[in-house]
Amino acid sequence: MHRWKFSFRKKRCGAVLIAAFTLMMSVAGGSSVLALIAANKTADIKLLQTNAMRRDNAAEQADAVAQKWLKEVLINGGGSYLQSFNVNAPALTEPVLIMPDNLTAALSAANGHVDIAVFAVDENYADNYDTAAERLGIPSAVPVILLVNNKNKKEQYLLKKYMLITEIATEDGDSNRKYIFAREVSVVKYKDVLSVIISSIQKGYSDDK
Amino acid sequence: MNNAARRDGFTLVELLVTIFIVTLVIPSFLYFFKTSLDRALHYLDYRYAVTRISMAESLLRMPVYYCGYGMPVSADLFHKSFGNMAVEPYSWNGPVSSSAYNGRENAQLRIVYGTPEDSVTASAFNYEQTYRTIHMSENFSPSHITADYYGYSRNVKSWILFGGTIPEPTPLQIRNISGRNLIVRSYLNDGLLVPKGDKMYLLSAMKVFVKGDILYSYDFKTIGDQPRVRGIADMRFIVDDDRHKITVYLLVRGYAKLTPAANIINGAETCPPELLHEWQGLNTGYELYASKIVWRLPNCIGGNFLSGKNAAVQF
Repeated sequence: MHRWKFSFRKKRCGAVLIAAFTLMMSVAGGSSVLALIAANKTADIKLLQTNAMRRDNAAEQADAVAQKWLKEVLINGGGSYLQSFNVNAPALTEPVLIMPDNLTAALSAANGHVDIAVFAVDENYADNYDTAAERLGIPSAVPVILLVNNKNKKEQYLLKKYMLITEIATEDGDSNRKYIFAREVSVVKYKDVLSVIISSIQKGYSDDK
Repeated sequence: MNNAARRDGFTLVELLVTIFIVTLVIPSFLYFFKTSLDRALHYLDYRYAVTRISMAESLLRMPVYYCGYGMPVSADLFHKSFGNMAVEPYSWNGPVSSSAYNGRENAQLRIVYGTPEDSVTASAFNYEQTYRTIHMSENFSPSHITADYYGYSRNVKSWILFGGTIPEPTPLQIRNISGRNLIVRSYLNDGLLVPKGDKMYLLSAMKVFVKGDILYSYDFKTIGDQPRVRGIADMRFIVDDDRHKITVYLLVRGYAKLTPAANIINGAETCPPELLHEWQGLNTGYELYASKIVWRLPNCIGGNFLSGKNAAVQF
């Protein structure tokens, strides 16, 4: 019986070398594939984190722009808004004020061209806006008169509520799902002068209950 | 020994040459191996530290965001709105403050915040006209809220908050629960209005501090100190009331004792001097990692035009 003995001088060495080489390449290839999968997963997690940060960042900045825009629209907007500052003002069938896109264009470009939509909703809205208001979590508030004791003198203010909504498109592929910043804004009228008071803010997704 | 057998073996010279070459190669190989191992261990250590920082951040993120939601920010009005009770958390100087803990300055965060609930007001609530009764859209879980019939409730589960309260943010104490209806009491304003569709928030309060390498929270809805994150060496909180900001300094350790010498503090430049002074001379054996986080307090809105004035809503 022939006993096989390893020697570089024998002809079978070629087969052994080819087998060893094939084995080595298979292991290297397998390792590379695993490393690539791991790298992809890590990149995906990083991308998710980056997108979340980008979205938060865009929403925070858009909210700041929106506050300034609403103040200017209401205070410098002239008599059209003053008319709605009345306790007997009828509920509005079109309560939405839309901020022009060009004000957020630079922000959108700086944050990976994320879609940003900003609008303010007058909380004295009519029944036709109920469904949209419920979806966005907007309360319904009629204008009220505040009697304020200021240095033992009773002064009359008129208070009206708006909800400032900043919607950011999410990166999860669902175009109907939006990330929403909702900020309460109180507008006070005193002797035909309006002042805007920025108040509480909530955040969440459009499909949150 | 025949010639074939002689060819198959090694001569002494060949062995000596091999040993010499191996002796030359092994140290560099070992050095490379040790360097790689050290790097891998440090990277692992760093990943542990980053995870600890993320866990501590996640514990605070929501409370910081909703800190001050639906409640007054100034200390005077804050006390008044909770019936001037002299117990924690109602006796704190507003929704957010820091205090000393275990002799360490600013080492304890005290934070009062709102936790969102599913329920919204089913109709407008007028404190006087609706007999202090709020009609809500959903039933309540008894584990979330409890009624306090006698007033001046110390239990945080007896307090609720709304973001759209008119004329000013006012916490409401629950006196009775009947199905979806809540009978409440306000200690701040009798002429109070909550619009229809306003989301209800539950009052929550928490103290956060580090004790013996572990980050603890004391949530006022449960009992006792609750360990949350291990491996936190120190934590400091600087509250900037004027700019509605909070800065959180974290000092965390990795997973293994890698440094036999005095503490190495990575990112020491982000630490405040008192933190550095305390930790730089010590030898814990661990490598330490410093982190600084600045958060806005978007719901700690000061400067209410009504602050300090007595206002009532007229219908």
